[in-house]
Amino acid sequence: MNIDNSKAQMRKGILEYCILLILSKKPLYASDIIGELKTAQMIVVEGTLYPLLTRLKNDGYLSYRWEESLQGPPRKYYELTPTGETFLKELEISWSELVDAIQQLKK
Amino acid sequence: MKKTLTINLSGSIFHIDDDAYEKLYAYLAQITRHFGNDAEAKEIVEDIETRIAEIFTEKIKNGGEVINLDHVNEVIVIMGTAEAISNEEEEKQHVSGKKFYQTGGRRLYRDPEDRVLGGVCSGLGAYFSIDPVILRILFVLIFFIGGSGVLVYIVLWIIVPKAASTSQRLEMKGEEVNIDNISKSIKEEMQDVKENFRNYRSSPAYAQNRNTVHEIGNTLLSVLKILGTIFLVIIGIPILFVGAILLIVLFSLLFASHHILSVLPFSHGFNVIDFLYTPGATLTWITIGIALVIGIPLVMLIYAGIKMIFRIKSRNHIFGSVFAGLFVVGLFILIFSGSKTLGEFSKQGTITLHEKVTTPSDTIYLTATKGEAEKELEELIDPDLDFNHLKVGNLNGKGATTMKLIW
Repeated sequence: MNIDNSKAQMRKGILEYCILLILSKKPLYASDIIGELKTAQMIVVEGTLYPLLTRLKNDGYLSYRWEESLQGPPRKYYELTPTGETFLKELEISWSELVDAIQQLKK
Repeated sequence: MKKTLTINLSGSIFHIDDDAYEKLYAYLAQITRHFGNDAEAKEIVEDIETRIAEIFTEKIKNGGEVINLDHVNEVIVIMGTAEAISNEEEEKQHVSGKKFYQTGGRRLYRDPEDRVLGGVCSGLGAYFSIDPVILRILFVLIFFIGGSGVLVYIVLWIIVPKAASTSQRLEMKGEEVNIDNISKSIKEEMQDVKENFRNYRSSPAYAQNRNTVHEIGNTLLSVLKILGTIFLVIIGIPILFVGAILLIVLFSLLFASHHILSVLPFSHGFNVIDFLYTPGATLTWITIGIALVIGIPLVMLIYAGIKMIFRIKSRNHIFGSVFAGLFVVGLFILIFSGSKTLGEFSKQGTITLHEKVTTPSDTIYLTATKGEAEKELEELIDPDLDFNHLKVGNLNGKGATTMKLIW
């Protein structure tokens, strides 16, 4: 049990929540999501994001549309589906429960 | 000066240095291996390729027209190697009942980090969830009992791939292989088939010929994959067992008896070798030849069996050609020493014995004392043997009338 591993485990647990949170504001394409996650120090390598996005999409929480790009290939813009929004609300509840629980323990 | 190649990466064309191409190709192959090859994995890999194309486009704009090794290395740092991705990825348990990147369950590898010789036992231990120490003791026991343990070990050492990368190590220790999981993975495959079929029905691709063919291909592929998996295991197990048993029989015959020819079933239990004027060296060559000519196809059979059961994909060309070469060598050895031995059968010998006997009688009785040699002779000689070829040339100056042989 080392500290880096524990931190990584914590981050992994809320990565889905973070992605949904980022996308709840506006539709974005992978690179923008990566940018935000990197600023928040949630991920280190971009390769991690693609499997997550694909899975969230296949589970019906996200949808995407193609948009032409001036530089390079067309981009996939991801956005939340209605199911995704419900899912996000549930995650938000469970997140605040977690925060409360930690606050409780810290007292 | 460097050679450049032109590649099409997710629809964009790039000029890329030869060495950079090699590196990128290896990286993408690693990523593809990591995610597997179902529809979901293909999409992930496509996304990653698109992103790489985008990064390259930015790099080129900043100066330079050719993608070089530095660009590729930068991309790998940004995207992350398969190891880095698997370290950062979510645990599989979080995935709600749906399979994710790991499709195949457990695979047989050699474990280089826990090994005595080649890591075969620790790999087998991980595959069957057995303590490798038990397997090691078993191998040593088999070695002392029949000696074939060494051969099995070497064969496994050669054909089982080493778990080199993190993802391979994960596969090595992955989901346990039991009836539950096998039926689960078959169900998942069936689900894939259904999904593919439904997609094919509902998709607009239904109208587009090219996509339709593609979808039908995918559906057929999934069906074939299920049938293939079942078929391979069903066929693989008997092949492995028959091969192993025949190999053990062959080697115990070869080594338990000093010469292979002495165990061939000749009548009356006598040894054909006693009747050949063949030097021991030739017989040793024949033994080696037989071991190679019969043994190598058996080893290949075992190899095929193991490959089928454990779904080992790697093809070891060196292994194949070395064994094919040994087989041909064995064949030549057999042809040469065999023809030499066969030549011995064409020789003929005659023994003439002159003995002067003085007797008043007309009849001569020959009595043989039964020593070891006589016993063997008795077994050898046909009871109905005619003794006409024994000739008594002269008896008391007259021609002999009767001759009897008494045992």
